[in-house]
Amino acid sequence: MWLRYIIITLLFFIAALMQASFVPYFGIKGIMPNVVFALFFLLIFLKKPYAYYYQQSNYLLYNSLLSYEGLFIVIVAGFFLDIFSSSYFGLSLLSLLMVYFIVKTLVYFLREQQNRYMVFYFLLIFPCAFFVHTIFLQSFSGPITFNSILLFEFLYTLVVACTVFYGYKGYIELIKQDRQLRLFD
Amino acid sequence: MNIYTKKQNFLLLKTIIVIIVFLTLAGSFHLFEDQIKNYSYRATSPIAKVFWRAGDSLSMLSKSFAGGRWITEENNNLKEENQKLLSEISSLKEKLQENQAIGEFLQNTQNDHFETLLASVVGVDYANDVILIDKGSDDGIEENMPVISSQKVIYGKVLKVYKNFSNVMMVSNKNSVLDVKIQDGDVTKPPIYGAIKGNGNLSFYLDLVSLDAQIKEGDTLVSSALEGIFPKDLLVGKVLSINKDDLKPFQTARVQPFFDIKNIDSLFVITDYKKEK
Repeated sequence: MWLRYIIITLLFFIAALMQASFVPYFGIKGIMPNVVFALFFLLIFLKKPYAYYYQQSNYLLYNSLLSYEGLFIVIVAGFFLDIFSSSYFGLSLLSLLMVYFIVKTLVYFLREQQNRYMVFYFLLIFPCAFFVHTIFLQSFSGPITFNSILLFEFLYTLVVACTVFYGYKGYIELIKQDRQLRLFD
Repeated sequence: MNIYTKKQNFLLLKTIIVIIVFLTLAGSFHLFEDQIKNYSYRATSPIAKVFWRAGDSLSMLSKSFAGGRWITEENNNLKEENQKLLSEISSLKEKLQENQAIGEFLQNTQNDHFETLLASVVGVDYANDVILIDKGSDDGIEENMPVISSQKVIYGKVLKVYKNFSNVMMVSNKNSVLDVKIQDGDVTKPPIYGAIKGNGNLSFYLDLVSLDAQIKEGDTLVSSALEGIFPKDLLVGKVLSINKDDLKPFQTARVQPFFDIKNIDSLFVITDYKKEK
């Protein structure tokens, strides 16, 4: 259990460091992907509610919203984003908390079909989350500009997120294959 | 729902409220912000530098790969490189780069009388166009000090000073305004003045140029020192295209910045410009 928390912390630490020092080298005309946000979104989107709650007939929205691990992800991601941001301390954390509630609410209402149309839900919820987060942060640092640069930044982040998403799916498939009974080696 | 679950949910709800209250207070009063950030930068800067160099090497590799020259380059590198000396070379290379940067800078500024401080870049907050450098109040850095490169290219000014680190607001920051002079090579003409305004995403544009002023593509923009923060004649950018509209009181222009975010291992902070004034 604790290992999961350590891995999550390490993942965000590396992602935040990469964001501040490694990613700028791969910017296209000043447009760079938001690696920390992509990782944050994937972790909260792919996280399933506890089986106990999910099987209950009275599975309610707040069961989906309130989970230790979900909130831990918000706090760690927000903290590392705030550390490397020149904006107000705590702002990214508040923004991610907001995004977390939005994503979890959407996932709750769409939960019945989530496993079947996962990619479509991902492509539907990701833009909502990204623009809420970016516009919220922009409102504190200067005038909000909704232009082509923001759109390209979104697309670049989406490409990164999709790569990780399919990487994760591939990894899961690999694990499933490994568990199969083999009669012949 | 059993009592245990209810109790657990109530505890979580309390945790969220505590976090939100703490953050609102911390954000409003900047509680411990400087200390937390300074310690975090101190702890992470060695790793950040490794990432910075890795990014540099990888982008160079991808560039040469795209150019189709990577095979010959790699062959040459493999012949030259000795595994045993690699770590020693990298540390010496860093020192050499610093010395070269200082030498180049001294050569460029031999007619100017600036006190400067060499700083290394630790990170970039590209969302706000802010650079993090490894010099802070302990090194004599103060807010609004100009930051330039060895080629006398303006990068920005010091925005926030921590104990051992500082945030530099780049000229491309949305809140940045810099007075500039437009140079077209003809010294007999009176100078044309304008202002560079940050656009975000490492770009800026020229504004506040009077409609009758004759500016053309390729003109060089240098600092005019009118705002009193930057010394004059520091390089800013090059005019790319002009946008002249008779309905607007001023003409604007698209500008290509001279700064290069991918080539900023060393920067110089001018520490005594204000004192001279």
